Amino acid sequence: MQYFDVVLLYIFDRFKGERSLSAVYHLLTGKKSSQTIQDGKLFNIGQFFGVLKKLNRAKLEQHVSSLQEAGLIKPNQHEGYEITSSGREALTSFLASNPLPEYLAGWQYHKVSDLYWQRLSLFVQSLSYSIRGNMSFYPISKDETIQNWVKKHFPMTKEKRVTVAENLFQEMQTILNKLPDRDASMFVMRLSGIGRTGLTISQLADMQKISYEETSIRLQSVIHAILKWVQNHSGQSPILASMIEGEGEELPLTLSTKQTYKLLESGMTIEQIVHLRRLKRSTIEDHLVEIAINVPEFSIDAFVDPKAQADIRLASKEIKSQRLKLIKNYVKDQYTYFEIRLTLCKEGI
Amino acid sequence: MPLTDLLYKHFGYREFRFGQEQIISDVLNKRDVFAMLPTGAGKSLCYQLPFYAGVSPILIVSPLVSLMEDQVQQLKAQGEKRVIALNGFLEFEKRMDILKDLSYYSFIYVSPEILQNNFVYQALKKINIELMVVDEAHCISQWGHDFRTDYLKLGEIREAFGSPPILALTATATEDVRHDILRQLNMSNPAIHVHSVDRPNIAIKLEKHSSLEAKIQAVKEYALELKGPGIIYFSSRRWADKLAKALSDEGRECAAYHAGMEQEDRLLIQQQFLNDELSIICSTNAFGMGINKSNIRFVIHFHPPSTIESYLQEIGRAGRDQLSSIAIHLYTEEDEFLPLSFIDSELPKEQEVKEVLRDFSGRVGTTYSSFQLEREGNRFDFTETAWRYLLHQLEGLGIVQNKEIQTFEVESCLREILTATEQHRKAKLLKWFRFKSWLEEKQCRRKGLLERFGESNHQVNFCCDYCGLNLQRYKGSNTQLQPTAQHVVDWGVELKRLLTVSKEDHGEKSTG
Repeated sequence: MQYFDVVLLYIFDRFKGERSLSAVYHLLTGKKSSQTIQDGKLFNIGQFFGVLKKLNRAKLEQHVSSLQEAGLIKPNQHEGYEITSSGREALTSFLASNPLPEYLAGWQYHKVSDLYWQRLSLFVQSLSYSIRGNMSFYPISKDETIQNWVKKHFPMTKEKRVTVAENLFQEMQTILNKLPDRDASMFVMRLSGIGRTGLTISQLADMQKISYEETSIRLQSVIHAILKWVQNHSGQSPILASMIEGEGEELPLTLSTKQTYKLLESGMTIEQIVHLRRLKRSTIEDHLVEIAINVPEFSIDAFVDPKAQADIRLASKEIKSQRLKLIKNYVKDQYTYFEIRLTLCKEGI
Repeated sequence: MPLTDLLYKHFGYREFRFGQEQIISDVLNKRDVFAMLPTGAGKSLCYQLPFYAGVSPILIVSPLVSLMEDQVQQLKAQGEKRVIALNGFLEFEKRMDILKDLSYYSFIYVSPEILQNNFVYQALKKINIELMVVDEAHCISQWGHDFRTDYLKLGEIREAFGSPPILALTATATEDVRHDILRQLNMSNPAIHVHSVDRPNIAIKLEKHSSLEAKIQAVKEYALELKGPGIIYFSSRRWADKLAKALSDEGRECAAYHAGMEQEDRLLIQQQFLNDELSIICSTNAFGMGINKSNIRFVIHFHPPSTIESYLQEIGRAGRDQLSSIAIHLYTEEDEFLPLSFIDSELPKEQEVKEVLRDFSGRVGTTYSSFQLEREGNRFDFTETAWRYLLHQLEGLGIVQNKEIQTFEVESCLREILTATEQHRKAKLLKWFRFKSWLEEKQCRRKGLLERFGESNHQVNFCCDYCGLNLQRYKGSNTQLQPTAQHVVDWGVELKRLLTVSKEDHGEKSTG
């Protein structure tokens, strides 16, 4: 069984057959739709959000059909798949010897992790060359915003550069020491600097004799681990912390949702926003769900009566399901799909 | 200041190469200039130097984003800050900010597609462009090897920008393509500089094999024996991956490069290659444009390019340091079908055209942004090139005007588009047959190539397999095949090496 199959089994297990294959695909490729965001939260698999951005659909389907042939999953009536008992066994025994990366947190860091990695890797490369008095190299990132950021934060004198590099080495070593040796090693080999260009994901995978997907996921988990550590211990890693700067405050909302949020904050109702933005009501409702997931201080009481919220929560618990249709039946159609979705997301059952 | 002083001051060279000086003086005299220079001859210098002689701003139309970015990086490394590239990858808000301050910039790189954007167009119209450069100008011609429909609108755009002098640059253009370029850009009394496409330091070898297996065997042997660095061209990602794997297994430092890879990984491979950490790249034709590596010793074609111009451009990546290099073309009878299917994939099929016309006729009045229109082909599963082609036809027939769908008659438009497509297909086939006929000729390879560009033969010493070639000259040493010890190193040691200055670096004596 390949690593990617394990990831799929894990997701199918969590989805409990309640979501289609498209939902799996959107989760792994990080589609920023309210439904995907909601799925990640509801089924507690947000850590996989966007961890295989370049996955192609055909490859996914290929793996799914081989899992099915092996009897590890079976299709159900929701166009989804359920894990079988032998599938669960296979998953459990694999994870016992090779647990999923502890720090993987796709949803939490998807907005910042790419940017963070690019800043960090260009910063390391620039330091590595400059402390040896060599400033002519091809920058590892062509993105101008990244280059400008590094330029702006780069120490001015050679002495300072040597000190910053030394301190950055200490900071990175402290964190990497807490991670599996193999993950730390891949991370370091992906960095570029004097005397060596970083390795590609395929090259790292060959070197470690693991699959492309596993390599890609493990590398991301290291970045997530750094981000997590730095958020909690910024005093101990000031240089690494400085590279998040300017991105932390921003809410992880899609652009259109941000506009809706602004209008809500200015006191408009859903109907007014629908009218003003000339969007469908369902679209605005999707935005609200997204806001409910991402903005802790956002109260849904104005949209769902507190008593309704309590009924819905209870219903979900009673029937042990997050399927909107089942819950709606259980509460005898008293509440709309929108009210149920919003409640489930806010609570994050 | 004399031109040679400017050259030395800003570029560090003492002398001009390949007629650069004449081209630049014609540009400075505000003439329209057509210049054909062999690959690697320093085309960009022909418009960069005029800036230091006072010509500004300069608009450069360039077909490839990666090419554009490389040029921008290069100018910035030279200390030139007022450089900007406008392309579809720029975020909307950032683009608007730049457009507000467009007059700040001296070098403005644009893709032909972005010129169709109204905001960009209006902003460029307001500044007083002093020189318009059309890079890779062969893209303007249906006869060129990578025809781009948006290039056809450059003539009009030039007029709208106040008819600045134009500098059309290309590395490979046959006689008919040259005429096309002059006509399409409305160049008046142009100064024409055509330099030989010959690269005398590159030896040429054609090698026919009876089977695919034999060809695979041959490419492996060459890759293991020839002195690197080298590039091997394939027609597909799958083949590039497969051979890269096979060669690495044999101990040669080798990697694949193609558009299916992540952007970051592509950049890493490029840099490993540039830094001589990799000796061979197995690539699709995505690799090479804008790669400035001077010491490439061989280029092998495992699959044929579809035109003779692409062939010259690809082998031209070897030997830019003017040292002896070799180009080897491996082929079998079956290879003939590859370009044929490639040509088909680049053109819309009857059923597809029908589907689009029916769809559009049901949505008359729909308006698009240029961004949407460019991507509309995805809805019908078109390849990028095929969609660009069809879009051009739709605009030509007035079905799409100002990005709005007009009323039209489906049947007659369908016939017209199909006729035009068929003609285009035939033209492409002719180009392929021209290349193929070269493979089968019984004469000096160089002579055959040059004849196709209207040049007579240049006598060179190490010419081709027909004139006689000693392969030993291009082979590497036996040591190039040391299976590299596994890369796995202690990460702590490696991180320390990257970020700390060891005692030796301070000039102190090493203790161990």
